Amino acid sequence: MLTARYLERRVIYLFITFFIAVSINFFLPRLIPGNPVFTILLSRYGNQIKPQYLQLIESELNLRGTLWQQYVGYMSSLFLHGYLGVSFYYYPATVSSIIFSHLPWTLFLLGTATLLSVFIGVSIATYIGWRLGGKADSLISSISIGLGSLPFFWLGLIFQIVFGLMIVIDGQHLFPIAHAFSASVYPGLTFSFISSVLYHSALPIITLVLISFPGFTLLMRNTISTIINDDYVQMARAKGLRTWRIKKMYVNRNARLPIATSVALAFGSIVGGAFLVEVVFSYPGIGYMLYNAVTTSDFPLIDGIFLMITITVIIANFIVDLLYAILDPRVVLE
Amino acid sequence: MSGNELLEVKDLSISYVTRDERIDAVRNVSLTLEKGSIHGLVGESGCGKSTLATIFLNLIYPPARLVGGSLRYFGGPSGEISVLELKAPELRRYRWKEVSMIFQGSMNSLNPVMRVYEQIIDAMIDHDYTFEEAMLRVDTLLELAGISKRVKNLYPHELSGGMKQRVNIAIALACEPKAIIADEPTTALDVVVQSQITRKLESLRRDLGLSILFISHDISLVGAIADKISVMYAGKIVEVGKAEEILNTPAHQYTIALLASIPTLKSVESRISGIPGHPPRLNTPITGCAFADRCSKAQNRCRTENPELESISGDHFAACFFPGGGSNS
Repeated sequence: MLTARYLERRVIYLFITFFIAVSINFFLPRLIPGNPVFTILLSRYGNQIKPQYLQLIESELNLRGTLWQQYVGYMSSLFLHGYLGVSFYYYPATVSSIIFSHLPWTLFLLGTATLLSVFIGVSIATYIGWRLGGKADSLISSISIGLGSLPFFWLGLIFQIVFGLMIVIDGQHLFPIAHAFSASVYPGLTFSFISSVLYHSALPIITLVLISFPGFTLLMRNTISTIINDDYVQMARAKGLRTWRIKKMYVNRNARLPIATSVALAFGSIVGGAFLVEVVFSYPGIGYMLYNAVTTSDFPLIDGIFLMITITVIIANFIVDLLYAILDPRVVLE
Repeated sequence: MSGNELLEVKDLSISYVTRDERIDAVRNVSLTLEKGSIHGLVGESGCGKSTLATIFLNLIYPPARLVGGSLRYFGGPSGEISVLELKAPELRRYRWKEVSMIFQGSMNSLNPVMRVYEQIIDAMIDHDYTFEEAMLRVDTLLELAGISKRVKNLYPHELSGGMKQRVNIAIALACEPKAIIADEPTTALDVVVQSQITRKLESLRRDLGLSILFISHDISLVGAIADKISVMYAGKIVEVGKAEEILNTPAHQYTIALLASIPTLKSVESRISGIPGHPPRLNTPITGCAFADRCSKAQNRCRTENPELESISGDHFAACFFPGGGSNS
């Protein structure tokens, strides 16, 4: 159940979180040593930097005055006009235009990987949850613990080496190791483009899923192992119900409740994983852009991307809350 | 026997077996539930009465293990059924259709994420009722259990303890069973609701001709509704007989002590006398009478010889070398 009071409080909470995150996002990158303006000018004009260029660019990029003045300027333009500023490195492109052209790639990776992880994790757990203590259970449980503790970037690199370089069939590598689609296709709703996108996303998504699903498997397996001894499951057996009904309506319906909570918690880690995987695979999502932004001290772009992460995680948590209220009639959101 | 039996347990033994321990929870028990009667099974916590209850639906799962014995059911259309030999599909059809159960942990025996009516109809649908038939029956069942039919769309957490128990009764009646095993059906309910539920079970027996095995630790509660009473101690039945015989002329020293521990309205001034000591742990074999260490009349013989159930008078049996002496009448 959902009440108006819940929504109201949720929006206030969201706003406070948002404000704090934006403030931290603003100051954090500016603590990195180095002057971004020099970096930009050096990259464009080599050693011929004139002082008047410096001043011109500083005022254009909101880099004049004290840090506090810059903060006030940034916050007021953000909250009054929704303006995220101009990228230093991709000047004169605005931060929002850069984010919106790269965000879909990240959402694609993230969304597919999360859904697949939950689906695979829950399916495997349902299978072994009914064979607790058996061979499949101990094998899958130990593999899950091992797999779940691998670092994202490491597994990504291994996959690149093995499936992208080492295995060659008919003079062709098995999978591409970089970019979101082949340079030979034009973006559009064509079969060649979509298949190229899926082909390029295979390794990054497999990397993300393989490391993310074991957490769900282990959690659900353990939940099932306790629920199976609960009174209402005993009663379901006594009622002479068909086995599929006991599994579906009595065990799984209850076992999936903790999964909803853990999806919310795991989402942050999957976001982090997706960013690393994007960097490893030079995948043009905002994680890859963040990496570029940090190496070039592109403060506005760093701020903007962090802002997107904050919003994504907050919204994901909100959706999970709503989902939980649907799954469990005992939960009242107020 | 009179040919009036519905369920007959014979020489039943159930043990809990773990890696380093074996607990003989039910030891060589025989028990008969007659058609249309209420049979009370009384004993203190841990005496094995709930374990014994699970046999009627063959709900023995590890670590519990059936060591020996049989259960025969005489109410089926095709005559006698040996319940413990049924294969999985036949056992599933026997469960709830022939014998149903009200569980001890009835507060938790409803699925928290299913509506009341869903939990009533699923039993019927899996026992060959059509969905329409099952839905039509929901109101009747709730009415039989003495609860408003409006609760059918609620979830268990929206019900009080007494209401949940009535829902459990409605579920137990769903497939028109011949017998109900009621395992501590009134535990965790307040005394008013307790007596309502007890009277409800009694009226169901009368109106539907049900047989009820009423399991409780409260001998006075059982005495109020049961036709026959079995008293269980340390995994064995130590005394069995007509309710009034057990209550008025108890034979086994344990039953006598149990009855003496009931507070009465007249005994306000006096202290309630408990039974000193504890029941034995059942992880080692017991020689002699299990009650000997707590019994005021115990002799050497009680510690070395194993007393068997012997007739005191007619249908009244007790497993005691020195029966009687504590008449309540």
